[in-house]
Amino acid sequence: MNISLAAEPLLHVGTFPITNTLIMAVAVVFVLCVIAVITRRKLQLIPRGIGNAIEAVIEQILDFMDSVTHDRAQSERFLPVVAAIFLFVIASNWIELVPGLGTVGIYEMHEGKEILIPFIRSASADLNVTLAVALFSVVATQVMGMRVLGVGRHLGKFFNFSNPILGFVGILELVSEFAKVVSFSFRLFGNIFAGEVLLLVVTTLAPYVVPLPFLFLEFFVGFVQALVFSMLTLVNLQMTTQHTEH
Amino acid sequence: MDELLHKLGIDWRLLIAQLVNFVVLFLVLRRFLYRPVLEMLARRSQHIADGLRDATAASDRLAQVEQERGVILHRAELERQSMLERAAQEAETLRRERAVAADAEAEARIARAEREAERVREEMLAAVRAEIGDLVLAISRKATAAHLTKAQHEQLIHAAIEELRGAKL
Repeated sequence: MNISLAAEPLLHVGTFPITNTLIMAVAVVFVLCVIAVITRRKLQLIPRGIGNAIEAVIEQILDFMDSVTHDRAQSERFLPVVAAIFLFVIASNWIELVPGLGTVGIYEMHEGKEILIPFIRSASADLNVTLAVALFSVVATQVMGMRVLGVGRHLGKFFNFSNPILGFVGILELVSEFAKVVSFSFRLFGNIFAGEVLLLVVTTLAPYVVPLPFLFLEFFVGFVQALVFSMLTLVNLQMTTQHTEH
Repeated sequence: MDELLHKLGIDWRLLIAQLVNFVVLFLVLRRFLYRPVLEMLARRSQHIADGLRDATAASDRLAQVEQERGVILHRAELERQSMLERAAQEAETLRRERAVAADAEAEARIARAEREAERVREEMLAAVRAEIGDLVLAISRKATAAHLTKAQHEQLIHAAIEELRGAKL
């Protein structure tokens, strides 16, 4: 049994490591892109087939977003960011649950022992991935804030020299933006990595039937983490652009 | 710090690669999924709204047409009844006029026939009288030729004619 915090490199292109999570993330992105392209071709005025299913998913996400924004136009404006995060994270989380994927890989000698490095590892179980998504979330929030409020007014929230209190609050706001990156990325990474470890341990101890409840648990955790990540992004987007309403 | 990042597996090259990967996904989904789906949802909503509005308009129009139809049918029924009554009246008037004309024609024909019959009777009477006069004259002449004068002859003839005139044939 090999547990590694870092994603395992399968090969190197020059000095650039191709890790199993990078392959997984590219695969997830590719599949989602293919689904998007197919969906676009299948969209009909009378919904049917895959177009209907994807439309239902998008509408469900929009309805859920409406419960936060209370404004359909606002929900539609935030949809690309929130839905991209949700779909990517949930696909990455659930891919680890496909039975057998973690058992296919290459054997490498590590500290004198031969260990299996699986080709497949959940992308969310790599801090590089969760950090990238968290960075995207925070940057997208700032960009949206600048677009809605204007650059000056938005940056004024962080750099306010009108009085010391507001200046200090601005600094706290700035620090909180960095803290969001850390909290987003470590929360998702921690949950999914812990889930992978849990499944690995349980499967090693009792390979038959016993892991089943844990698989369902991870299925649920994967959904909840995707929901939490995307909803926190939505709340941040809403709060960042809120001043336009007042 | 470097050691911590290394232990956590954070590699700025992989981080950038994952970021690029996710940005690509974001752009592709925005271009090929969200926009078309939102446009389709908006189009469908518009279609549904149009359909509902058209259905309401059609329903209203149908109710209006039904109402107009009822009014037209009622008017036509009244007109039909009026026409029937007028036709019955005209038929009655015509029948009466025809009857009156027929009566008048019949009476005129009867009168004409009576006049013709009277004329024929008068002509026959005149002819009979003339014949009888001639016969009486001839008989009287033969019977009284030897005993009566000319004046007495004529007197007798006149007396006989007057008597015949007074007699009804």
